[in-house]
Amino acid sequence: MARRRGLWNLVVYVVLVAGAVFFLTPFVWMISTSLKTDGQVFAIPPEWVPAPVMWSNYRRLMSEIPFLRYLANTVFVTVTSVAFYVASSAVVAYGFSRIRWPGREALFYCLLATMVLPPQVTLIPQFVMFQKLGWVGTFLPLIVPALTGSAFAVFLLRQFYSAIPNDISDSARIDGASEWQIFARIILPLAKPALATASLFIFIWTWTDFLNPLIYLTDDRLYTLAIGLQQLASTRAAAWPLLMAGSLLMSVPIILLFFFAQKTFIAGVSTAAVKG
Amino acid sequence: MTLLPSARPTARNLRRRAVRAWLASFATLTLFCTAVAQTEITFWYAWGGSEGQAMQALVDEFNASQPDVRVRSSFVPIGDGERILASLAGGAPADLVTVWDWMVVPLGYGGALADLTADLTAAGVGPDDYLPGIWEYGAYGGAKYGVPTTLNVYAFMWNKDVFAAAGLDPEAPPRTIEELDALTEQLTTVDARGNMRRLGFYPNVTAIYCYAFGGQLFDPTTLEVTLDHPGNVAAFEWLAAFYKKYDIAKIRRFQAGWGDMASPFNPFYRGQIAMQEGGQWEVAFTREYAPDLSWGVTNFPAPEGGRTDVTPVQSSFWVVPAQAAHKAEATRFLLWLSAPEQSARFAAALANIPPRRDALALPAFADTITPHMQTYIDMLLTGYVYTPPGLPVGLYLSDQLNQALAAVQDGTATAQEALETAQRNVQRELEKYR
Amino acid sequence: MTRRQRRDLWLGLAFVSPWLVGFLIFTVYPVLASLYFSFTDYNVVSAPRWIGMRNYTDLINDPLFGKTLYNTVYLAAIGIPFSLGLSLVIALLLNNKVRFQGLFRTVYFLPSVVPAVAAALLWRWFLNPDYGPVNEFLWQLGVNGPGWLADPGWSKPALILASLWGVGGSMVIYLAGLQNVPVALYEAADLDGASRWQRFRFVTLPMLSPVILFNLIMGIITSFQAFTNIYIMTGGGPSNSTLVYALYLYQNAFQFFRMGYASAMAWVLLAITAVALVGVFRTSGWVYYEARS
Repeated sequence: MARRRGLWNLVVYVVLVAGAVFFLTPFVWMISTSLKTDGQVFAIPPEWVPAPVMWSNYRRLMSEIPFLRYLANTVFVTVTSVAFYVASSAVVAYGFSRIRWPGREALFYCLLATMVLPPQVTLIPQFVMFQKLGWVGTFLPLIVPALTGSAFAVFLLRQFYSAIPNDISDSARIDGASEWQIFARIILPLAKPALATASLFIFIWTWTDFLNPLIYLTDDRLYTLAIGLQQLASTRAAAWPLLMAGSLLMSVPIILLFFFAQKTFIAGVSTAAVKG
Repeated sequence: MTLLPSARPTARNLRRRAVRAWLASFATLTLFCTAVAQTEITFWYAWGGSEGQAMQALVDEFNASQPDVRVRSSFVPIGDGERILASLAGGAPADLVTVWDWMVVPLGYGGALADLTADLTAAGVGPDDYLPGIWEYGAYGGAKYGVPTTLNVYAFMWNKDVFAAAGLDPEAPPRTIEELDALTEQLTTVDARGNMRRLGFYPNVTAIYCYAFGGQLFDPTTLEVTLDHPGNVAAFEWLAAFYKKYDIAKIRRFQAGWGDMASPFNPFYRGQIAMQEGGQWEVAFTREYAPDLSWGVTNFPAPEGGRTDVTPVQSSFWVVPAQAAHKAEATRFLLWLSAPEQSARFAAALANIPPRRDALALPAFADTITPHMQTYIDMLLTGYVYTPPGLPVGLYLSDQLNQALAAVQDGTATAQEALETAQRNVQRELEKYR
Repeated sequence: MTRRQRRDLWLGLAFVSPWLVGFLIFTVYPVLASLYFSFTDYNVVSAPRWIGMRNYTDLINDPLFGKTLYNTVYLAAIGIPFSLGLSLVIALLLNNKVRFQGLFRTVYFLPSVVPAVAAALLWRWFLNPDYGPVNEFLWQLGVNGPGWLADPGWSKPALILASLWGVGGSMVIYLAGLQNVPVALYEAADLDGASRWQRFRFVTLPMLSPVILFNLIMGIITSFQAFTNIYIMTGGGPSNSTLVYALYLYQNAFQFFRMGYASAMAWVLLAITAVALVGVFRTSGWVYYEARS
């Protein structure tokens, strides 16, 4: 039995390491490209080691676009959006899963449908609407809708809330807890892995979003990094190394966030709580 | 009131001081604005890197040159015009906007752009100030909806090194389609696996050959679409024979291994393609990526009775939205920006050709002219210039031309059938605008 | 309606009110506008002109409508099971107590933060017919490999292969879902002498089923709308073999100035996706919800 387990672990390791090499390639490629000369980027067959190593690409990046200003804008939009989206979605998902009421399913299908309609055809009327509100040229069109929840996060959290046994809420109700208390004190802590997951995805989307900032932020002092990087690509011979250096710097916060957030996946609080 | 700051400012003190400072700066600002009565206009340009810096330098110069108008420029990538379309639909666009050529007529004919004819005429700018065929570019039904920024011109290129290595005269490019076919055959090579090593000639822009065979995509005077023109059909038949002979599957496979255009791995620089179409930017690109390459540039070969001087031209455009808040000031800036001196400098910065005739001789541009570049310029001055069709349907016409080519390549339709289908589709689409 | 039911109705509405208000303010108008556009000739800058059902009847006669729908369904029908399965396997492996667990998880997630253009560049090399590693390997086995992205017959499988790097996303969602499996259930299964497979089949799978359903539905929605990566890798070619529905819709909306037609395409897509989703929900008896009363 012990020997079989040892063998199994070995197999798992070999598979994991082989897979890791494969999954590392695009990132390593990005690092390597960010340190290359413009001419080396498209070498055929591709070259993995930059020669010479162009550390100066990073300095050039900072001087070609107002990196820090764009970074500050991006941080502001992203942090606000994530906080708004996750907070509102957590509440909304509760109404779509832990309480039974007539019309719930119909409205839930409406929510799903908002994800299904391709955004290309609602882009223009939506813009006209924000224009009429006088919000174009400010951060408002990017962050105010976040207060109304994200269909993706609501759906995700609904799935997780639904997996929590009803007995837990029922016993709290008998103890005289209000619905809000049940939500805030019992369900929310149990859904931590799902909340972390939803935050992570929304973070990535708003952090890397290009189209919405492009359309709504008419003043280039409000631009985000995604638009700034586009600037590097908008010459006849795109500055690929700078583009990759910028993308790399942009991805560092996501990676750090993931590395630390994934601990909430490991130590799921729910496991212990449901055990009893 | 003491001039020295108190050693320990209280919070109230600080707040009062901040308010005072704010009021003071506000007052100065108001004073400044009323005194100068300056109009601020917004300008969207789409160039990044050094090209963007060249644009910004021009803007700064304009701002310093006069006190009335201040241009506030921002980088706005054109993409497929999402931002521009949205701002036009929302009724609050910038005052001067940079767009692709295929957007000009659809937006202008749709009523979203100002007709610049009167302003240009009033400023004494007319067709003769532009290179031949350029004044009509971006115009439709007598209205001129935009001004070209800088021109890209295509010509026929051949790799002299490859010619010499194959025992051919490196100074004798093909003059006729027959010569081109013969050279293509001699220069195409295949390796032991049956994979292509070199393609003698690669036709990339289909429309060029339509014109070379005497055809045309649309009639600029009647504004009728003419995709099924006999000349186009002849060109497509020739292309069909080409793809059949060299096997479209093999070509696609070979093509998958071509490097990026703006790199030393450009297939033409590496001799993977011996003859092709190439724009004037190749002068700058070869200097940077293939300094040792020996190449020539000339007119496109044409069949008997075809056009021997086809000169394809492309450009992005500056347009003034009809609902712009400061149309007059925007036009004034546009006139300055597209004047010969500025035109010459911006074209030089982009390795393009200025659309203004007088700009060619100005040192800012003339000093950059190489023998290769001179060929492109001569073609522009004397050739049959054609620009992408400016019709209200945008890219639909060129997409239909591509669809026709795909059908011919795959052998699912004859040249005649494929072009008739495309003609029908585009005509049907155009009828919506009648 | 009993008092309890009325109370639940108000409570439910109160909880979903942030979304409901936002839906009424920000979503309903653009959605209805696009529905209206679908019955008009609309080029965005001129006023829309009512043409009744013509955009919809034109769709039926448009060969590219059928072609792009086929391409999209092909990619979804083969790509979704493929990526859902693979991400589940990776999530299960990384839910084990392996050394460097956090590091492994991060590495498998990394491709999700690499811009699509960089990943596309690599895939174009991996799948290069002449000198790419995949075909070099096949050549060693005595096979002259296919043209992959350059061959209309292989371009769709090639795209599915290239989507492999993106499985980190659904892996994360599975991992989060796996945390909700009560340890007590595994302990009970061990007491009953369950094998590794039985533990997976009778404990993990049912407990994970709400998350599997989530990934399946999001997979359907996103693959019906996907086009950016494909646009970068192939531009829809060769010979329209990778021209997907959303890409064609986008071209119509912004390049051909046919926003009315694009809107009609969008509403047809909505109908098709709705049918697919209702189908999934109808057959979702395999999904196990603890909270189901």
